[in-house]
Formats: sequence, C-alpha cells, structure tokens
Amino acid sequence: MTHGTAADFVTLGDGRALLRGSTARLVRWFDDRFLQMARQEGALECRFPATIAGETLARAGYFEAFPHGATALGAGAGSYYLPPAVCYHAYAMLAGTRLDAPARLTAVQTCFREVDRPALTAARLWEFTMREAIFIGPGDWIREERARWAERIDAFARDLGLSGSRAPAADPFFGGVGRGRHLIQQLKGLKEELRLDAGSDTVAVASFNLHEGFFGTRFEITLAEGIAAHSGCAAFGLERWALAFLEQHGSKAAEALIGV
Amino acid sequence: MSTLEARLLQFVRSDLLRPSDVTIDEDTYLFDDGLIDSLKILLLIAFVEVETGRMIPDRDVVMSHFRTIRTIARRFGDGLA
Repeated sequence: MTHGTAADFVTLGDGRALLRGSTARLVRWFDDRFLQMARQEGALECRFPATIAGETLARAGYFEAFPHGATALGAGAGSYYLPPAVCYHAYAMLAGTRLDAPARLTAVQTCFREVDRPALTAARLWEFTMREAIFIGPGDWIREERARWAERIDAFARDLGLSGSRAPAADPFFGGVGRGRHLIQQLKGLKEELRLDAGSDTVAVASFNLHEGFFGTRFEITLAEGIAAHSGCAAFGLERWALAFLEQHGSKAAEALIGV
Repeated sequence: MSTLEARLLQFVRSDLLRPSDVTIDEDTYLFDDGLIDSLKILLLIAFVEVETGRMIPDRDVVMSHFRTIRTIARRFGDGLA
C-alpha cells in the first residue's frame, strides 16, 4: 500500500513503514512545527533513551491498562521494552522531585504498540513516530495548558486547510477496571483526539490528555505544597499528519509546503 | 427530594463512600475530588439500572448526567415518584 507519488510512503506489511523523498521531509516539517510550538512555550527539549525500563512502565501502571501493549526486548529479559509512548520517560526523569514551578518538556521518539502488530495500513502502524509536549504542575494549570494546545492545533490544522474534528476519545491510557476505566475517562473528558479525514476514513493525528494526579502520585512528583503534581500531554503521530495531508491535498501541495 | 434522589444519597453515603468522613448531599460534585473511582462508577450505574429497571448505555455516561446525585436522578429518574 502506498500513499503520495513515487511510492514514497511504503507500508511494509508488518506494521512498519518506509518513507522517502518529500514524504520523509513532510514528516520532519510537521515535527519541526510542533517542536517550535513547544519551544515557544519554554518547553525543555529532551532526548530520551530508545528503550524503556519495564520498572518504569510498571510504575506508570502501563501493564494494568495494557497487559500486552508493549513490545518486550528478548524473552525472559523482562527489564526493557520498546517505548509505547514518550511521556513515561519524563515521569521517570522527574520521579521523587518537588517542583518549584510547573514544568514543560518535549521530546520525539519512535514508539511501538504491540497491539497493532502486524498492522497492514499506513494509518495504524506498530512502529511510528510521536512528538509529545508534556506538562506537569497544578491541576488548574494543566487543564488550561491542555485546552491551549488543543486550540492551537485546531488552528494549525485549519490554516493548512485540513478537514477533521476534535472529540472525546474512548481508548484508555491508564489503569483501572475495564469498563469502569473507560467510563471514568469519558465522564471526565480526560482524552480528546483530533481526527483528520484521510481517504474514506479518519485518522487520529493528535491527542490531548489529562492524567490528573495519576503519574504524579505513582512517580512521587510533588508541587511546592507537597501535594502530588498533575500532568497532561499533547501527542502527535507524525506519519499520520503526513498521511492526512497527502490524502487531502496530494504530493504537489506537500512539496509546495516544505519548499521543494 | 425524589425517591431516586433519596435512595441514591443513601447508597452513595453508606455503600460507596464507607468508611468515609466526607459529607455529601444531592448537590455534591461526585467526581471532582476522586470520590468515585473506576470501580465505584460501575456500582453506581448498576444501582441506577436496578432502581429504574432500565439499562444505561455507555454513551449516556457523561458529566452532564452524572455530576451530582440530583443530575443523575433528573436524567434517569423519569417515571419514578
């Protein structure tokens, strides 16, 4: 399955994709925009390890929420995984600290979702690239930060002439009890997704998430008052942005956008 | 106070929050301070379903319907005295 011209978005049939030429540059162009937005907010740019410790995922409650979600490195090793998301590294980095002021971080990383392996479409890959903006601080500030990111990205998509919509999302991102977890998340509006049109379907290109004090408590990240910090993040699936753009506007528009 | 409101209040006070020193009434926000977690929401939904004799679809589990005991009773208590 290919997208764009010159077969430059090539899915390999096993949940991986190969991008080249202007499509590869388009992915980088989108990442540059999101990085720039995060920098303008004063986010600390981070470069996290390519693997993540099982201990970190366990502390984050990842295995409770997604028992088979992460790809383990080597049978029996048990200690390292391919990262299913970027922000777990951030909580591990800040574990046990007391924040004097709210923290903003950003990083990009190749992520892996075992549940999507082997995926056969460009819209749902096992291996994909995610840029995250992560914010940690008081609850009210986190909610404002999430709202600002969501509105900023809505405007960004609109400026690019990309059609789609933002709506509450149903898939859970942290632990709980089956249907209860899903309903609590829905009830509290903890996760929103921006879905863009891509061919006959839509694809989730960004999510805007509130974690309340879940990770702050798990990783013992506290505010100056000694209470658990809240956290949230905005996450961007870079290949999906390129895919939606190519599906909606075509490769000529992509080349014009990135200045080929 | 409607019958459903009164029964909900008793259920939340005695079964969901026990033991608890939290004082709640029909206008207390149930989800603001983590009073109701992911297990308790299922018990709350089950209680309302038993009391009303009707299933609550997942799509109706939204904050505007579940914010307080009064909003739950108003949304799901139709036909109950």
